[in-house]
Amino acid sequence: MSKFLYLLALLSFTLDGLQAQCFSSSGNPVGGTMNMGVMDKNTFRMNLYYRFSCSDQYFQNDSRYRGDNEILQKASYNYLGFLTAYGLGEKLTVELEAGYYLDKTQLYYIEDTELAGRGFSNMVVSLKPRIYYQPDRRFELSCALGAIIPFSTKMKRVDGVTLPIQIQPTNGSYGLVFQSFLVKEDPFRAIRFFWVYRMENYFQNPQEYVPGSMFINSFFFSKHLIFEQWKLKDWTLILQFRNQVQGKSSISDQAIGISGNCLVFLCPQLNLGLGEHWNISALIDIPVYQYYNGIQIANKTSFVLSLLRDFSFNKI
Amino acid sequence: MLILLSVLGCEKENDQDPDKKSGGYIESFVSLTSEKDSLLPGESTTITARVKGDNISYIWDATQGDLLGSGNKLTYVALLCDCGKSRITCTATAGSYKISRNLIIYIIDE
Repeated sequence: MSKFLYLLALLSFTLDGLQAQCFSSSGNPVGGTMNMGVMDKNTFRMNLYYRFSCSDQYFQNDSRYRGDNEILQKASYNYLGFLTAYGLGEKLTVELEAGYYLDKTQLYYIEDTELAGRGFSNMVVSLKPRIYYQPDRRFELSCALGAIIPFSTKMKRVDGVTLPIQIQPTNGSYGLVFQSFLVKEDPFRAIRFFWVYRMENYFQNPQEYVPGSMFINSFFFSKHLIFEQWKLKDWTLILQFRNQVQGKSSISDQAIGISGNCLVFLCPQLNLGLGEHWNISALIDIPVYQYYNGIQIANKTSFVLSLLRDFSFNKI
Repeated sequence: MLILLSVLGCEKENDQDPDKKSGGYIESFVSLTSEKDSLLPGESTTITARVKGDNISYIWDATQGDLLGSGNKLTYVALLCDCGKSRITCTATAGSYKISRNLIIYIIDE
């Protein structure tokens, strides 16, 4: 069981939001990150990951847009995410997500101007109870409820100019996160199926901006492979199919027409287990379907590198 | 003694205007203007703040759209998702002086 918790943790990075210009530009990974299931009691997990994302093409609804209304040449970010979790009991885990934008950049066509923000993003604190667990069938259902806490509610300025909300490291909005996890293992064939659902809902920030609610549905398939002859023998192949819907954002109680999207990604992932406690992982996001309300800049490239370590405080 | 008196004299003069001593003051915020007062989404305009004084810093905010540049002259860009009134606020600061002015730009839906 602990093995699939490892995997679920590693899979979590794939759910980071890939967002578009106009109040959702280069995304907000902590808000969009989901996490692992229920952990063993007295086990502490630390997880560090790096995500790069780049958007340099526009979409109008579900097709490429090549008109005169393009404002940005490119939007990108480099993000360091940090996740910890601790098993309070056999059926309850407490969890903390946080992160730091090394940069969140927009390059404009106007005089090749570049604007960049950096800083701490949001923090998410969650409690995760296990709802149903059948060890014989290798089946588990759990859920989580958490609070989104921005590191700051003040908008950042650079050289005296307030940065656009798209490149603020935090959107300054408090919110709630609900997640559910369903896991089914087939140990004889070393395969696993996961279904993860995550919903994020935000409140109005001091600038009267409300980010659109996010709904993420992810299906995972993983196959564990052992190569006895290899020096690095513990590998896992993972394939994720993810649907992500973001509602329209609003400002001053007015919905922003050109915001919100419906995206589908295919995310191949490779994981390497090092010894008993370490895992490193890499994945890429491949957009297979993108629908945007109006004309928005769309994600093109995204990848994640992660490092995970468990610490057990159980007496042997 | 003469040197001491002249130093004290200078100090006295600066004490009368501590903001000049700390390197800044504002006489008046003369104007905040835009080349265009209405834009289509995707269009841009130049906004200029004219402030009389010394050692002035500028702080800019916009309720919609993006502001590019710094100092007293910026480019304002109306984004594709913007519509309606956008309020641009320029705050000039120097020492303990702080004066703000607003400007409205209309973003017209195509």
